[in-house]
Amino acid sequence: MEQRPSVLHVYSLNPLVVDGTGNIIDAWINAAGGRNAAQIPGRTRPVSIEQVQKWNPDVIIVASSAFVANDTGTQTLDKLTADPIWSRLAAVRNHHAYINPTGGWHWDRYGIEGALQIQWAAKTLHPELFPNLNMVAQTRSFYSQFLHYQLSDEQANRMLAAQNPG
Amino acid sequence: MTATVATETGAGAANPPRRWHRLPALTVLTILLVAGIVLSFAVGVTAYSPQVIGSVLLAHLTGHTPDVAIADDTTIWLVRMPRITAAVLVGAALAAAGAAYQSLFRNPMVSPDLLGASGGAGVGAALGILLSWNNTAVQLAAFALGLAAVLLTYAVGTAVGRGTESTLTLVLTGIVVASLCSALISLTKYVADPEDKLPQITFWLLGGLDTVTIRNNLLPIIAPIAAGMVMLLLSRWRLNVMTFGDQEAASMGVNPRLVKAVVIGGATLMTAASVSAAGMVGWVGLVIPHVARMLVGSDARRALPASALLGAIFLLAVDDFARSALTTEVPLGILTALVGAPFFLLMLARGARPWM
Repeated sequence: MEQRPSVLHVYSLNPLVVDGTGNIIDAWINAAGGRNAAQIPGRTRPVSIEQVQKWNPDVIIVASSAFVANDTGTQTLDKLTADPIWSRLAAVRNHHAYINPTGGWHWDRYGIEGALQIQWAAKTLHPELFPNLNMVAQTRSFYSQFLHYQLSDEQANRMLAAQNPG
Repeated sequence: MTATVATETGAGAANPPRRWHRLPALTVLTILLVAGIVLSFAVGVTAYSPQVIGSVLLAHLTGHTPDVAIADDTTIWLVRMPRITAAVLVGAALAAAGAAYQSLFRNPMVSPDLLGASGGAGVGAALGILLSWNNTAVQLAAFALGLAAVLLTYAVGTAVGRGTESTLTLVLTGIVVASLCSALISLTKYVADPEDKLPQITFWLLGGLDTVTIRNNLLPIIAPIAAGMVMLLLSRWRLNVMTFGDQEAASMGVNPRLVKAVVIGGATLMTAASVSAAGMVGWVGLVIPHVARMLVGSDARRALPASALLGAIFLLAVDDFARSALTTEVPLGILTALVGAPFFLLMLARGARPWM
């Protein structure tokens, strides 16, 4: 993987909708040390799977809005791995497909948890640069400091896995 | 109206429009369709030579592993093949259903969603998406409610028309059911979560073949479309007789109730299956039959297969544009309307009125 991996942020899988440039998604991808694979202006743009193959992203991040039929994030990733087309993409083959965390709001789009999103994305894209960044601890301290809410470890873990923290 | 159509149809077989007189139109259309399919495999985000396409298709059809890069194999066999097949099936189905309806209802403004098939399918899909069903369940719900809407139209239309199945009662009931469906679709959109469900419903309703896969979308629609096509093709010459009117048809030994039921059943199977896989793709079933009749005359024996072939060619071409013109996908339903509506007006302006 080159120094700035190309990142595809998937908003929906069926229909296939991805986030392009010039928006807050593009901004956190760049801030976290990546570059947006989808070089089209605007967010939530419908594209063909052929286009995704051509972009051939290093990393795929799937937003929780792409989950269907009450699937969890893990189930959604399993489906990608089992899918005949997606499983042939380098990012999926190399296990560089991730689920975007969701807490009080989707971390990836226009919410205060965008501050957590940048840290999460930076650690996800460059784990070797952030060996001591503990996202569970970061999430708990963020909630405690800014929202005056004491998260349990389990709740923080559920947010990081894009599950309803309950 | 009835009398005019009847005389025209009677003469149609012997006297197809002049210029196309000597061309074997169905053969030409078949060749065009095959050429269109080959071309569709070649164009897209990545262009392929006929050699690469041929070797990939041949390898898969003979059960070998193709001798090309894995990405090319994926694109040609897993992405383009299902999409091209779906475009051909859906285009042929909608156009043939439209041609059959226009003959049956003796009305040039009739499209295959006349009796509520598209509306019902839309309700099924919107409801399925709203309830977080998986893609296969959404498609099945669309298909089932498409059929249910037409059954409702038929049952209510027959009941209201006091058992006469009067064409007018049936059409009016169809309008009522379609309007009811559109209200239900609006209701699902109104209550849908604007961050994830609403965009999905909207994209579905716009129509498109971008997410067609063999297993999830293609296999479930092949049987209903094939069955519907056979039902329509077997009713072709009876459709000609039906243009004289129900009583005249009965006097010529054709059971008008049976023909109506078979044609409506066949057209509905095809339309509901098409809409369930491709979403709301309008105008194909309305415009293509007119073009087909301009080419081969109004004899349903030729107009029906010609409509199917032309519909397949048309939707294939439009879908090629939808997936290749821009980096993003252009919704298919928008494109067919943008091409179909002006074309229809052009036909009117030029005085081409193939139904008269």
